Amino acid sequence: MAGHVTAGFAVCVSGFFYLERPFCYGAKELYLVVNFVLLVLLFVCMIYDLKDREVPMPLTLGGLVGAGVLGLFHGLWSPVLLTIALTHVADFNPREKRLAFALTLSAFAGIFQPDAALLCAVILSIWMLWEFGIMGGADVKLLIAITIMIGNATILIPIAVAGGIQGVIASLRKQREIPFVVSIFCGALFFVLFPLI
Amino acid sequence: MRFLKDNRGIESTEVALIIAVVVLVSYGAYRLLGQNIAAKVNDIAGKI
Repeated sequence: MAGHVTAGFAVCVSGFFYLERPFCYGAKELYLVVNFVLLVLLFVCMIYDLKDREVPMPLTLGGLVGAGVLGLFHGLWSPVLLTIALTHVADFNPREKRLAFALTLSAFAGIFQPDAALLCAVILSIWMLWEFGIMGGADVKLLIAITIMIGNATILIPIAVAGGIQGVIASLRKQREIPFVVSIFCGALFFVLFPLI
Repeated sequence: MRFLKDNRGIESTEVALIIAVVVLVSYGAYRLLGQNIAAKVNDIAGKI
């Protein structure tokens, strides 16, 4: 438990370091720090997913909080508020009410901050995958956290490709289910390292 | 907090494949048609 909290806390701390950017660090160094902490978090989540087929809540929640802090600093207040709203909307009943609220809130989020409209649409799409039981909650929370933290929806492309490759390998091995956090980690690793290659 | 308490980190292989295909097709369509769509939208916005 202490390890989970520490990892989650590390992500939050990286967010606060980032807030201090103008005073302490250059943008490039902090970009590297944030990416490093993100990859460490995803690696720890991947280990848990491979072992237990579950990711402890403190890790995913810590990732979401850290992403929220970074997102607010980047000015992405609309996707951050939408994520908080969708977390509450998930408790509404019946499903029609949840879907109606989610669509309406996403539309307003996109209208109020048009620059972040694509991110809002992506967050809604990911949340819908969870709502219809297509993806696990840990995967969805990590995907939303990564999208907000990086601030660029294109990170989902290498993750989706990695998921496809993992799906093909699992199909060849006659496996029905895959630990998707492996794909999330591999895709994020590729996205972070690609500019360096 | 049903959303926060869901810790499942597993997915079916079919879903992973479908998501990969949908994302790749969407990205390909965006690369092919994105500039044309933006030009049309700007054209219409200019006329309005």
